[in-house]
Amino acid sequence: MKAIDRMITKTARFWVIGILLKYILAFLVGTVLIYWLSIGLPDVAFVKAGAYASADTVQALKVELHLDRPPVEQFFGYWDALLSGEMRSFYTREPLIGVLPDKLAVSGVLLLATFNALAVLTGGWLLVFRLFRKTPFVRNLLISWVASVPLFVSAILLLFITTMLGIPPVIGAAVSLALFPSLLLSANIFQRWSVLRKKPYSLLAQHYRLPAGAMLARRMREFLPSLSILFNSLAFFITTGIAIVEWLFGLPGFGRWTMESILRLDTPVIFLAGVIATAAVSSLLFAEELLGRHFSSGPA
Amino acid sequence: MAKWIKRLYFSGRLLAILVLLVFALHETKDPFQVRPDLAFQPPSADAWFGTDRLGRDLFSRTGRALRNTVVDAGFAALLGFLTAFGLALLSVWRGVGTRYFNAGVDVFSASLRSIPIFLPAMTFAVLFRNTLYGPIIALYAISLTYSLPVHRVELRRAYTSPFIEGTVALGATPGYILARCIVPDVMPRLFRYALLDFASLVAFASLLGVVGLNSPPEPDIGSLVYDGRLYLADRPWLFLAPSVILVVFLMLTWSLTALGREE
Repeated sequence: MKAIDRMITKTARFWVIGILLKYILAFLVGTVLIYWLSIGLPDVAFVKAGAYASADTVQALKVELHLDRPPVEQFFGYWDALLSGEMRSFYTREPLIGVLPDKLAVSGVLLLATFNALAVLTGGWLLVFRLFRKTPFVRNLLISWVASVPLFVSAILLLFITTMLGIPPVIGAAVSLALFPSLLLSANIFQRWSVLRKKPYSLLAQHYRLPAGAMLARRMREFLPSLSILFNSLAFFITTGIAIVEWLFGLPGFGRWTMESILRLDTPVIFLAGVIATAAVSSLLFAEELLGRHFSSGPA
Repeated sequence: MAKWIKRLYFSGRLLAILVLLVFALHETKDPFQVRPDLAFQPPSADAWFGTDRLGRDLFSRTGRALRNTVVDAGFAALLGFLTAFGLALLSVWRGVGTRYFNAGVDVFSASLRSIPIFLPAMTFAVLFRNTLYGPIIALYAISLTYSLPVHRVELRRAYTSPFIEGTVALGATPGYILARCIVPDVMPRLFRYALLDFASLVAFASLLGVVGLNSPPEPDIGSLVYDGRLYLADRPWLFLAPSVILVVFLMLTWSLTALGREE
């Protein structure tokens, strides 16, 4: 309890609330920016009506899709429809709330598989780094070459390999998503481990034969900042990577749905996806900043 | 490892960058010339990277694509750098950077980072589809999002350094401090970051090509890679040639950021 009391001092409360407010504001501004971007897109009524449609048909479509209303009214109309579960796609006219769980389920499975792949690949990279521990030049060369392979190149190669070997596409997709974050994480852990081994307290502990468990606990605490790296790379890979990988591997998930909606100018889906993804990224960034502040203010 | 091997390696990287630039600027053949009779030719002395399904020379097309991608990413990185530096300077410059203005820039920066980057980038690319500047605007949105926090942190660090306080106490003007103290202090780091940003933008520009948001008929690396995937089993050069060129270019650009420190 004392530790909790110490943590929640008046000052601590203020900076946590400050950061929270900042990210709530950022989320709200972000949704406005997304809406502002989506209304800048070419008029979907023209696209949906087709090249030979008359002006009356286009106007009727605009009225049907509420595109004739002023932008501010449309923005609040979107929020209203979103919160009441009545938001519908411009094309299929089905309520998005009915489609969303299926899409999120596919992306959720991919995300779970990605976390598994991340753990396996990080372990594998750590073994490789240990193998080349005496030749940092070779190790760095390996890291820089692997890190330079863009996601879509590795995804296409993995799609080819998984198709040839008859492996489920979700595994290939997960491996391609986890490749870069695992390299980043393992390189960071390896570097920290090398530094920790030479720290005075490690040398003293070795000298006085401190129990291995206590030493491990101490070192694990110092590894935690590595996790903050994951927040950044995950924020990027979850939002950008999932869309690309789902699209390339033909997985009908949330990312692919969003990307296809942008390409066919389906504004309600873009708005819904934007709100969900912005909320997810804001939460990740909030957690990252919180962890960053905690570790930078705490003892080294 | 012997020092001379490392030096050879570093010089090799610079040489490789030069070779890639010559490759991108020098067209041995017309990249748009269609020759159906020469379709799907494997790599040979006549066509170094082979030919595609329309008999177009893949070597010239990859070079042209690299040039297009690099020019788009370069322009976007430059614009992003200048805007981020200007905004960051306004937010930290004494007398201008008030508390509320700083808070506003802070929230704006967090908002930009909170939006999943592919949403605005793809929306801009769709908005300006089939224009030459469409990809540049999309890439600029990405560049500004990530550059702004870095520039702010660097400038804030420089402005709060003890030697700046000393210079102010000696009566230096804000212009003198900016030109003679701040810029020389922050520029090496910011240039290194800009190079990283540029490499990331090259990768993202290729990604826009993968999803079809490029400026046809001009080729770009992403669309060449994406088109080549269909022939990966029997004509792998169509996928491998542009992919390898892109990976080598990215690797060399990223490694240049570490060049000064390593040597």
